[in-house]
Amino acid sequence: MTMLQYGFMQRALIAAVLVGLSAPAVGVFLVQRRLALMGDGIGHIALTGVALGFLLGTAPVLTAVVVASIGAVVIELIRQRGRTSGDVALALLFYGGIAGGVLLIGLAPGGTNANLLSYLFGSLNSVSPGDLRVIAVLSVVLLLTLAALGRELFAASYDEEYAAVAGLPVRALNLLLAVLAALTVTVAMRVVGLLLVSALMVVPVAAAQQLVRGFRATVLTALAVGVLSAVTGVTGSYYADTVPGAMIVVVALGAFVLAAGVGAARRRTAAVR
Amino acid sequence: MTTPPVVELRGVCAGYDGRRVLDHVDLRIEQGDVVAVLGANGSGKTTLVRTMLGLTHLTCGDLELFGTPVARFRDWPRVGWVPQRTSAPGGVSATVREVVASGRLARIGRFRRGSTADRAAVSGALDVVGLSDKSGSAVGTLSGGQQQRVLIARALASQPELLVLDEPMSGVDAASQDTLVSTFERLVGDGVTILCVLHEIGLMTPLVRRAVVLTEGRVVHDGAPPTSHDIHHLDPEHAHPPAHEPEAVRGAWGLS
Repeated sequence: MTMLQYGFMQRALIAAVLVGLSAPAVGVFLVQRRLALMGDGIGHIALTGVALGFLLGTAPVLTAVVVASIGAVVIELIRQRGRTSGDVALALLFYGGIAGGVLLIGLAPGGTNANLLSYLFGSLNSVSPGDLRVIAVLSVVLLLTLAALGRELFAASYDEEYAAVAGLPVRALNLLLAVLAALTVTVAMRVVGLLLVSALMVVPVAAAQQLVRGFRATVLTALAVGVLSAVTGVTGSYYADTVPGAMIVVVALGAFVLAAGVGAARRRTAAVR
Repeated sequence: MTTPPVVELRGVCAGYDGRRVLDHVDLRIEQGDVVAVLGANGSGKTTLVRTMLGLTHLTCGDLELFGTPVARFRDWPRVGWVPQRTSAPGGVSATVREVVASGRLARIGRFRRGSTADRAAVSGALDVVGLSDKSGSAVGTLSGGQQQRVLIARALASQPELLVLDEPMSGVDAASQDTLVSTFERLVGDGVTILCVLHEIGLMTPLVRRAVVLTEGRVVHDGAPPTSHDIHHLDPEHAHPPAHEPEAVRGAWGLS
């Protein structure tokens, strides 16, 4: 493959594969809890973090991690406490995130909205070796945490009250999941962009659900769909000369449509039998 | 030293948003008891269960589980809870075995892999409820009665000494109700203490040794399970004050 002759393409491919693994791995728990759009919300908030990085002259990824984590924890606390105005509070945070980002970038020396574009839509081909190290470390931490605490997170997501009665630290697990989701968003923002982060957390899971039953099987299938979409998307964008982030998401959506077709055909044959 | 009662409530009040649902409830459940909690809708049956499980806070009185105040109780694997079945079990389907295994987690401990004994406990729980052949099926594809048995197996997976069930018969077809009753018979034979919220005592009559009837958050009867003969001679004055609504109590037993 000629594209692997270029260092930037090697880095793009590795970064995309790491995100293809970690985004659905966290996303499956969000889908389980019917919080599929939480990744979107955190993405909006992370934009304020990116702009803050420009303003302070530090790495935007680091400030994005911090601000997105704080935002995710606040969303979770509102969910735990609030009963009636939860969705309104979430909406306020989302808009606050975008407005805060645009406002802060204007205050940054030499900052324009153009600086935010590469974070909103991703800029996979400009991933530096330093960026790749950050993405790799965060992804590995994320995947190891999920491997160690996946059973507990599953129990807490499947039936929160039962898990509490069974003696699991449900609140701590929920906050952990919120922070993991924030990490995922910041890891993925360079690859697919903040506006499409949630797609990689949700679409592979939705595709897997069409094909398999059972939680573990769904997780493994979603990881496969995520990696496959990442590799196909990056390769396709190289040859078709398109934006890789959007290509990855379009491929994942294609995988979903395919999986839905296969699932429906299978159910029909099962019904005939 | 005598063993403490499995559950002891002394003058317990509890409620939501300032509304008192349980009104000075006294209740003592000894090891091996099989107790039915009966009462009309809104009488406080579910709140009683939730308070015992630490999900609803006490506003007055004392509640002990196995001799430990509920606020300090940490030995939750000794308690198996079967909540009322909900129609929406999450956005991702899970297999029967995955759900039942989640009931074993508290016994396994964090950052450890389940041992052979843990896997055997999960298989045993599936066997008790008669779902071993369904362990790989998605829970959402099962019938109401089968889903109820999944929740019972999940509670049994931690090998509890006390099993608390909230309306296990609701939405369950007649054949599955028979299966559930034989499951309970087996558990009672194993010495498990059972507290079961029921809308009507029905098929559980041969098993239940004691019935507690709630009306408006108060215990109005605590003793032998009501028979149809008792219903005809029911005198709520005799059991306990308040002196109102024998109709409500009768309705509570599902025999009105």
